[in-house]
Amino acid sequence: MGICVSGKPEEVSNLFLLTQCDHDAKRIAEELMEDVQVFHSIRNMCGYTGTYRGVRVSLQGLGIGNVSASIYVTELEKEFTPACFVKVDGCTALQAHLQPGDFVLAQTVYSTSAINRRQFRNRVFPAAADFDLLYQASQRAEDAGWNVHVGPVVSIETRSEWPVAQKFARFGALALDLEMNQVYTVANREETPVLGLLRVFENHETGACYTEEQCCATYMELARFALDLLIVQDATVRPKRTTRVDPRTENLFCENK
Amino acid sequence: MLIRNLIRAPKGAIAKTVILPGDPLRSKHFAETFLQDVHCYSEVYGLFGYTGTYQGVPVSIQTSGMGTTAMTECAHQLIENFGCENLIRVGSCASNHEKIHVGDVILSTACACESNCNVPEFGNYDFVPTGDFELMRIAYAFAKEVGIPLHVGVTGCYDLLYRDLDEIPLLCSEMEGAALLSVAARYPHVKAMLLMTCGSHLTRTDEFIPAAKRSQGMFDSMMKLALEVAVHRNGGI
Repeated sequence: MGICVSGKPEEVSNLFLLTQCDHDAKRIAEELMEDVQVFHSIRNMCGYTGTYRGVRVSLQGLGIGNVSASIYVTELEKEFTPACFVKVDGCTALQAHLQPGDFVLAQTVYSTSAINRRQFRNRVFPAAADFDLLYQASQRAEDAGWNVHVGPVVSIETRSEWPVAQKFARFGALALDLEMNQVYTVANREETPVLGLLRVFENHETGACYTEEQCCATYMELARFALDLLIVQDATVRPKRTTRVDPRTENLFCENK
Repeated sequence: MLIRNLIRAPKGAIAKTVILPGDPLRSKHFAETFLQDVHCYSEVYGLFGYTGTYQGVPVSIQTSGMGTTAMTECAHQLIENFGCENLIRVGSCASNHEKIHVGDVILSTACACESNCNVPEFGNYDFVPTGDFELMRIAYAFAKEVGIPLHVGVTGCYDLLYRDLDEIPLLCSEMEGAALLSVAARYPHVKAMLLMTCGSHLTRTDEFIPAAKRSQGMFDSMMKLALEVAVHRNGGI
């Protein structure tokens, strides 16, 4: 049993939709899914499993920030056998040409956090989306007529990091969020396909922003898009590669699961 | 001393789309095999540069040399001095992954960089050199269409050729990619992408082919993907 996530393997799907807050997960479960069961309720950050268009999908909130997200995704990996993660969230655009409502597909994630430096011995870990998922999502978003932007985003830690976020923007960061770096890092480490789907709720450069009602409505459109993408993914558990175990990092990367 | 003129060519001699091998002999092979109306515009440092056309579209091939310093200088001068906008590295790499074999083609989503090339800008913050999605999707779709097997994922950019195995899970490793993507990231109008062909395997000795015995033809599939991207971008000169 994990510290933050628990449940029996038969209670969850291998296809996971991730949200920042439990309230959003609950709303998606209630409004878009059927036959929903709660598979744990630790720390009031419940895990839900239900069906969407006849396919079983599990939902899990991650809390705020990279630290919390790292714990949840790591425990999902330890407790279950995830085959795909899709995270949905709103974001703040850092480029003037992005409008509220636009889709941002996170290809890679920059970070202001030191969270990866210790485990990767002061190297920058290239937190990146699964390219096939990214490609599928961009095609689907374009076919649906959304304005879609694909590129790096930056996960910041505190509000005082705005100047750093703007520097990242000068090097291509499209938007900022708070958790995507660790969602990608943990999934990449475990070789689980992952993708972050973001919707622009406000633009830091232009000042344009959605009202609370617009955010709620467009968030659910995003969740529906994510579920449509998730249910066509392969839910079978793929063997993970046999990874060399570096004695200096102990069992950082697991052997075949 | 900084390298002031790594590439010596008159204005207008280099196309907006430049394909960047590390090895000058591979540049020569690609120029002679794939380009029409081709001429060599630079031989400085033995790093041959060629311009020609492919399916009627102007394309240049510029040798970068080895390492992040050589690539940084090369990319910087192509952008600043010649107005190049689409930079595609076509390199060789070593496989870090059991599923990638000698001769396979790899498209890099992003690079794990071990050099300090981004420290002056970002210090201890994590900047991830990232391939341009527009270029990548052209290569990816074309590979699917014509049946070129393609591995896509994160790759390593090392400073040392002879070293211990990496603990970061990567598809493969090479020595110039992060420098190209990092230079391109400074210019909003410049797009860059990394293609590689596996030339050796870090964990399987049975696949080792000495460099002197490798045929330049084993890199042709990768070059076809790069040229397809060049045709789509059609940047002219």
